[in-house]
Amino acid sequence: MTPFELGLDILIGLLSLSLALCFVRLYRGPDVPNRTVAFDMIALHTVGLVALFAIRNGAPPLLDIMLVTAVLGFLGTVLLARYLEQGQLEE
Amino acid sequence: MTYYEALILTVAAFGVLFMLISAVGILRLPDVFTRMHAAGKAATLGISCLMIAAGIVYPHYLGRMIVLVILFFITGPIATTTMARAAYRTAGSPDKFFLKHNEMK
Repeated sequence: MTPFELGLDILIGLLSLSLALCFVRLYRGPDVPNRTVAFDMIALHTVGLVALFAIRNGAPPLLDIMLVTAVLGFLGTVLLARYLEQGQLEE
Repeated sequence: MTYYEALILTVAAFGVLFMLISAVGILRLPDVFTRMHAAGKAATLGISCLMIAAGIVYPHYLGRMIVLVILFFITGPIATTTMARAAYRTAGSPDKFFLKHNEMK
């Protein structure tokens, strides 16, 4: 294993730790807006992990997945926020 | 390790560091607006550093990565604004947030 690959492995481990912290907030979040913020962060971490995996394994086609994941994460966040607001307005 | 690889590792480490700091902020900050502020740092600076690192490794994909960074700089503020408005309106009273200045009263 070259030092470059070792460094990338360490970075992937650190990003996974950060993802675990986001999942703790998703589990403990007192209400739905907090969980929406945690969901947004989890989508971002997915994109970052795919980027690091593409560098580590020498697989550039993985970079196309990032575009789809980014757009889906953004749409999911906006959808959750709009759903919260609509539920409030109907009451 | 060549200088090229060291540059890639440095840029990627900068991005991962920002993502980690932002995740700690999401876990430890007191209310939903401050957590959103922490998430915004990861959404722009952290993720764009990781993408530029991937673009340096594969120069063929550099244009696509720059488009993705621009996409994140457009969608990040939109998502944060929508979330903040939804959080404010679903909370009932603004007293449960640590607000110094409130323009939505």
